[in-house]
Amino acid sequence: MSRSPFDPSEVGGGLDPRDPAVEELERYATIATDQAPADLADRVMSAVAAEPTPRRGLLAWLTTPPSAGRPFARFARVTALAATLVLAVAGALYAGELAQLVRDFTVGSSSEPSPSVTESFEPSPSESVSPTPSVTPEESESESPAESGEPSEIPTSTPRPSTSQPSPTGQPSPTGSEEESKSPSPSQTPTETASPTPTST
Amino acid sequence: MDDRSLVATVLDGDRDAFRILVEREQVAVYRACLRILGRPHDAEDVAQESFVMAYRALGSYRGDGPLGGWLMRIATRHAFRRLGQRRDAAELNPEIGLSAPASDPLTALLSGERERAVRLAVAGLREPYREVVALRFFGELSLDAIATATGRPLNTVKTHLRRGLERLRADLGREVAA
Repeated sequence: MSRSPFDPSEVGGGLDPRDPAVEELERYATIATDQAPADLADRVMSAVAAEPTPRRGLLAWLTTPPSAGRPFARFARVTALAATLVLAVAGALYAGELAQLVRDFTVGSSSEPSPSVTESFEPSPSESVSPTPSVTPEESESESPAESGEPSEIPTSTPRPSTSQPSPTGQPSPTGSEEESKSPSPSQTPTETASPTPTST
Repeated sequence: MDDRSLVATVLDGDRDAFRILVEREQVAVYRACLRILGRPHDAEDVAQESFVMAYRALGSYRGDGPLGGWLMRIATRHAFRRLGQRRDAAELNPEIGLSAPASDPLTALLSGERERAVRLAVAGLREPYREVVALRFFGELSLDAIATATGRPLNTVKTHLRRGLERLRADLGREVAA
């Protein structure tokens, strides 16, 4: 086998023809020109005989030892493949979570308001209806403005049960009238009308 | 038989076709291993193992360059790895020179030390400079063949070789001064 000595012009200039590193390498390469052992091919073939037939394609690419071919390029490709798989799985999970969240939000917003609205509006008619028959509106209107000190528009415009309740007893209680006007629950109105009231005081 | 046909024949199950490749490339592979390792016995082992590794990986050979360059790359990598393992272990025996035995023991010893300095200087280069220098001077591949085997542009290979030689010059200068 003939040697092919290095020519500094191979690298396109910029290298001294008598570069000491080149000279050392050339001298060393000239010394180390031993022939291969005569039985090297036999030894290789006996070792290969114990090996399975090499595989083609992707399987060969994945099972190639790191020193063969381009280990860093293969490492980069395997890393990119793994990262893509991880991102795909993470994206699918995230999309699933997002879809679940949107679905929960949609179902929750449509179902929740309906009972609260019906509950809040249902008592109002019963409350307004029940006290009216037992109340005389003329007295309550004349007393409540003086006690509460509020503008005269409220009692005059709305003859509500809250203002009319103290009237049967004859004693104006500002606290009682305020609490009743604030709480529209139907359960409170019967007790208030019954207990007050006037009988205990 | 060209390289592609040779590889296809081996992949089809004809192991004897692999012998053609071994007989064609064994001298170059063995010499490259010997130049890196400096010991004939180690070079034989590494050359044989490199051929077996190449046989296992033959399915990944894409045929975009000479099979000899692809094989040489496997061998030089394996030889540098073996050299690293050997340097990790304690070496009690001094290196023996590869040159013909000199009549003067002192000359033989100095020659052996000089060869060792070159080997260690090349082995001490960083990648990719070490690979390019080794493939060019120990594997005796042309720069075109190195560019094809490594998948790098030719100008990049030239730059790597030039920079590798610059660093090698500095390292060898320090060795000589020491």
